[in-house]
Amino acid sequence: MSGPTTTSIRPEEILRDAENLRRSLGPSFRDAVVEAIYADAERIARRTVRRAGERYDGFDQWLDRVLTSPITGLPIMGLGLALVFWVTIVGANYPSELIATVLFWVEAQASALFDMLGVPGWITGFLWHGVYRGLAWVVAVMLPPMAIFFPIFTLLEDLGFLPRFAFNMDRLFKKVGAHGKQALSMSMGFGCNAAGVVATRIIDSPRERLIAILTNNFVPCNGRFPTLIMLALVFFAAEFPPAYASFVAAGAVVAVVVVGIVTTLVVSALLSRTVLKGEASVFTLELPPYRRPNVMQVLYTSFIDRTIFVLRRAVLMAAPAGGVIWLLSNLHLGGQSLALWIADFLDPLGNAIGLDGVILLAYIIAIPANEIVVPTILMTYTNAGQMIEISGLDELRALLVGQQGWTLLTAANLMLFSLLHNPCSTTIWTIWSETRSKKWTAMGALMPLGIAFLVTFVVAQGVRLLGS
Amino acid sequence: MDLWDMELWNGHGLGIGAVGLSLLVLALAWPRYGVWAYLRRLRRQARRIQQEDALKHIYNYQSRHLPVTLASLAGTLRMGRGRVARLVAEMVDAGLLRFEGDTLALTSRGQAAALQVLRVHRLLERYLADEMGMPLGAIHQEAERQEHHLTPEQVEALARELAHPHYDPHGDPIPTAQGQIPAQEATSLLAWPLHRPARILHIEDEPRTICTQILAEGLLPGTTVEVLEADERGLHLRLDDQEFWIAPVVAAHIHVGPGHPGRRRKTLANLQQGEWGRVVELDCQGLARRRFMDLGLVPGTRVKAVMHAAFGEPTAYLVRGTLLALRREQAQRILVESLSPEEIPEERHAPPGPGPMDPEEISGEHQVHPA
Repeated sequence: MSGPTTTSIRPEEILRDAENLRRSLGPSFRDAVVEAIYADAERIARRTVRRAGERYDGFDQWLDRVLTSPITGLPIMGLGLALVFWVTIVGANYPSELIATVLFWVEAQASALFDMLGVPGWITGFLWHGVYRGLAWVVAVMLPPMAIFFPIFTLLEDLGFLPRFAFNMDRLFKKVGAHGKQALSMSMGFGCNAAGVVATRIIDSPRERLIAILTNNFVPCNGRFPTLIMLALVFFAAEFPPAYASFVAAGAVVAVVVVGIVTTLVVSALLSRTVLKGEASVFTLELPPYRRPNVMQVLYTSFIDRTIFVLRRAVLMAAPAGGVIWLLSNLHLGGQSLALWIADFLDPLGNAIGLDGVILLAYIIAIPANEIVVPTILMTYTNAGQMIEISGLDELRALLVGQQGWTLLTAANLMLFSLLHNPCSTTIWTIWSETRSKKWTAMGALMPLGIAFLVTFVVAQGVRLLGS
Repeated sequence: MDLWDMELWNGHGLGIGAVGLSLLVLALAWPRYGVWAYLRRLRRQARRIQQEDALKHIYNYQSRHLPVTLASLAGTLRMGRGRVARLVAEMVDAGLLRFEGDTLALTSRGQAAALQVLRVHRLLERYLADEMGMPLGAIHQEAERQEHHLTPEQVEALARELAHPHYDPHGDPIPTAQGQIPAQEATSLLAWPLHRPARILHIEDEPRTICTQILAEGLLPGTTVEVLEADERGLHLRLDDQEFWIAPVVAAHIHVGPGHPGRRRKTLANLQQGEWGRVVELDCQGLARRRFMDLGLVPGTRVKAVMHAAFGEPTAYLVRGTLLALRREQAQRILVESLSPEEIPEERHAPPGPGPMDPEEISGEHQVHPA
């Protein structure tokens, strides 16, 4: 006789039973669970938590009315952003010069030491005038504006102003099929496009996040502002009496920023109607109460999370670029430097879009860091063996207009090209690490480049047609 | 250093040539990334797409009791007769198909494989509609494109992420991983009696023009309609406050079951500035629904419309003590009812005391008293 009979149950049967049970639960089951959790939480909170009278009324409500009204809200936000740029640019001037002086002093001393020790000239040149100089240049130009911009930005975020900005701008982004929070990642892009791309993490719909990532590059970052300001001063301000000069220069930079924002919206619209087709997904935005920010935390997040993060990647990219620049200007083929050979080759293409071969060469070399575009252009024009700076505006004008034949068209197209061209390699790398997709990374790099060529080509040909 | 100097390169010609040749061979024959491996992968992929499309076609015809022949298959796959015959022979060898006289039939293995393809397709449709926010009219084509590129592990991960949905956005049942598909008791809208509320269960996703037309009228799965009259011109329907006619051929693509008589829809978007309401139901799925619930917008929650943004939209609502901005489209998915005056929470200069809470504040500046 056998013992108690055992019924054998096969795993497939259990799975099938589970599946049937799941089907019998119906769709409202999940909702019931969530509702029960909320009901529990509410009951516990009511029993245990005492509020110190901080409700949504009074000052918060008044401030919200002011900031979201069409009459007062939009001008306040526009002026606020302009003020942030102004403080960043003006405030970064002096520390930038200081850092440059110190770092270039180190270069001079170190190369002198190498010469004294009898190290071959090309080693000194490559290491100190190439790699180190590129690195020092990027740090000097990039660090101060970022160290100013990011804390201000984080402060505005913590105070609760930035969410109101996104709230107000959402209608525009909705019209182009994008997410309102793209206004935030876009503003962050003014500081650094790589940081802007990281900031798109706040958008939870993958489609709209991709739109924000791919278009972030269309607002000029801190690395590109110096180029824009230089051009505005040399070309646009110089056409006007000195009293108006700085306003005209500021106006030209603002115009470029506006073109950038309009491009962001137009390209977002095109993307959301073609490759990233879809309806606007769920948009929810919390408007936190206004509160006093925690200063230490602001400094920490803006320094560690943003400034250092961006700086580290930029330095990794800038050092090799410095080496390449030195090699190109010091290796010669048939009595002409490699840089000039390449520039000559690129010249027809450059001409077609109202620029020249040297500028295109500089943009190719400067893919790792946009800060070194202008120094590289100047280096190639003057045939110097290393990146140089020309401080006097008149001198600069004499070189660019007098010797190289730049016109207002060159300047305008260079501003447009600088605004629209492919993102720097730090940003491209960030797009890759955020999307993990070769396709979207390539798209993020090549689409802006194509747009930049198209726009500058149309402008150049249009102006030449009208002018002749 | 002048690289143009020929002396520098003299005598290295053979070396340079050898290096170049070996690089070329490597590029062609490299195991996983070489050109040859790439072409082989492309071929395998193309074969998989043909097989899966064939399985789907045969399953569809079989379930409608239509005969499947080589000709009908060639038409659907847009392939020549010869290539279809080769494909079918391969599938017969693989034990997926068998011939019954002139017509083709799925073996039990073929049936399981077809259901798996259908499962991937419908899961993808659910994903595209709910998570990617793609319009309902476009998801079928997109799913057709993507369904051939997922591994079984990715499919199961997708099902888990979507919380094992039972129906696709058109209302078609999704087969289970074990290959079960529930039968659906749906009637064609054409056969539905007049004046009895009909809940739309299923809309056929092909042909596309008819599907788009149905969706454009706002006839989505889950909505309730009423047939007012029916004649040879078509059906006269009422949906919420609208009345319209649809052609019989369109109505034939809509399947319905019994529904509840609709009450007047009031949503968050209808709230005036400063007006309170109570959430009754969330009329959405997937990402949107989860998002609303995460934010505390569950049925029973009291909500107040506070302000509009500078361009008139979005609108900020007060939910459980937090200000929350929603676009009009989202607000329209949240059904509310009006509050009676005594239910409206005390607002001005509330004395310190219990009130609506959000979890974050418990750990914040507020005092916590253990019960």
